[in-house]
Amino acid sequence: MSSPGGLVVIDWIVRAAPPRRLAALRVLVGAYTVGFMVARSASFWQMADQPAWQTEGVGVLWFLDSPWSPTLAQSLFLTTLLLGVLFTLGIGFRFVGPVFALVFLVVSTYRMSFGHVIHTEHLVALHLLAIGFARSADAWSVDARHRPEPPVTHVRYGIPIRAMVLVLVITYVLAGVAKVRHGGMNWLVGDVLRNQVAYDNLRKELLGSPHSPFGGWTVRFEWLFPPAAVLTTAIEIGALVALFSNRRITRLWAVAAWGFHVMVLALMAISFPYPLSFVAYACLFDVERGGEKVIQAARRRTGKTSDSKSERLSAAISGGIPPING
Amino acid sequence: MTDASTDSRATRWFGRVLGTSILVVIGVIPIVLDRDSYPLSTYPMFSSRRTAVEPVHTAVLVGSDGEVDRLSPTQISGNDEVIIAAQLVYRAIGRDGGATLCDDIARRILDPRHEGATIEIVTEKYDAIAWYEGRRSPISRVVHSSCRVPGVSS
Repeated sequence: MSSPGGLVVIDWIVRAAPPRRLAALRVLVGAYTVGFMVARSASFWQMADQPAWQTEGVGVLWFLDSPWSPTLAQSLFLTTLLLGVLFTLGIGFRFVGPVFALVFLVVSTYRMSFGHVIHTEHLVALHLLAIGFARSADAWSVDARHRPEPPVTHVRYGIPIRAMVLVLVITYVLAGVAKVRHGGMNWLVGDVLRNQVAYDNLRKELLGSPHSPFGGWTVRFEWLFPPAAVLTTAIEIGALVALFSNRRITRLWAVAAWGFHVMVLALMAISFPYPLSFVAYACLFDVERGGEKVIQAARRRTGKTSDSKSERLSAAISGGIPPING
Repeated sequence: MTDASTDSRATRWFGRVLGTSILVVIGVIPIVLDRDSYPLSTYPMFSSRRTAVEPVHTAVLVGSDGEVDRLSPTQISGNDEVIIAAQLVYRAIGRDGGATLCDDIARRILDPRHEGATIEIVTEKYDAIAWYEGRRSPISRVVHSSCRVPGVSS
């Protein structure tokens, strides 16, 4: 479908996708978030005990200047967990979808409001907003069990997925730009990355925290770091290929970005769990196919046939708007 | 005009507005403001011009025999995030030399094994590269405040 020149780039976001793809992303991102909250529950829980003088509201809680009561903070955490389960299962999604996305944003913002912004939850919070405010429970949900699944691909399912991709790309590009902007060429060709790895591990040792002996060992090899710095920046700014390249290159980028996070974990004992889980990159893939295979395998075991009518209709063209990855 | 084409056109415009908004709000505004926040950020992790010799603000436990034990992030800040602990010590030093934090830690680690020990809020400087080459003497060490761990019965 043609567009006036200036709108071509913006029209990139208008693509159709099957409802199952968005549903699969709802399940993956929802389950990841619930798992993350359970795994980091001690940190969320302990925020209730932070001293008042340390409170420094950020983002949607910019006005915060004293901590919430432990009862409020811990009740909100438990409520968010429950909403996360409902979100993942697709129960009452018209209400639960946006509410969970917003409440998770508030709860995770509260965790950041005590003196330092950690960068582990930014992307997942933004992805939840994209999923939560879309019709992400039209398939593979408790809500959809007793109503026919929408048979065709549609932009209402594709736009949120493209929004997730756009957010993913922007976060990586910004990280790459920040390195060049703040560190200058010295970041790329000098000792900055080597110093970062050494300092970060040393600080962890001096603060009695787990660190990376492997990272400490590698800083002895000065020659390793300039190429690693160039590669890091290339992967971050190279996220742009996910917007304009074919599927194969996009997926190669996703694997490279995942490998970058594995190296960060190995060298600095810093975990970015959302990309490390690969769920962050799921929006770049036809994730519904994995779910369909699992369901088909289960049906074969139980002797049930597939809903072939719906699948045949899914192949129909959606108003001339090309499908994602199509 | 059919309902489907109207829906498609409206959705197309919605997509354009959404895409532009994402670009501006998530991509442009953080750079223009140059401010790290949540969920909008410039993602400045590891981007500073770090040198090998940088200060580390921390808290340590000095036993009655003079032996220095490193305190964990949870003991320092009540939270297991190392960056939050480091930032807490930094801000506490700027606030009152770390005296309040020292007392907070003393209460947090109350334990008969620590009775009589001293907590020190310190800024230590090491050459981080040299540290991993085996040269672990501090370049400087400043004690901002210290306090005694009270007895369990007190």
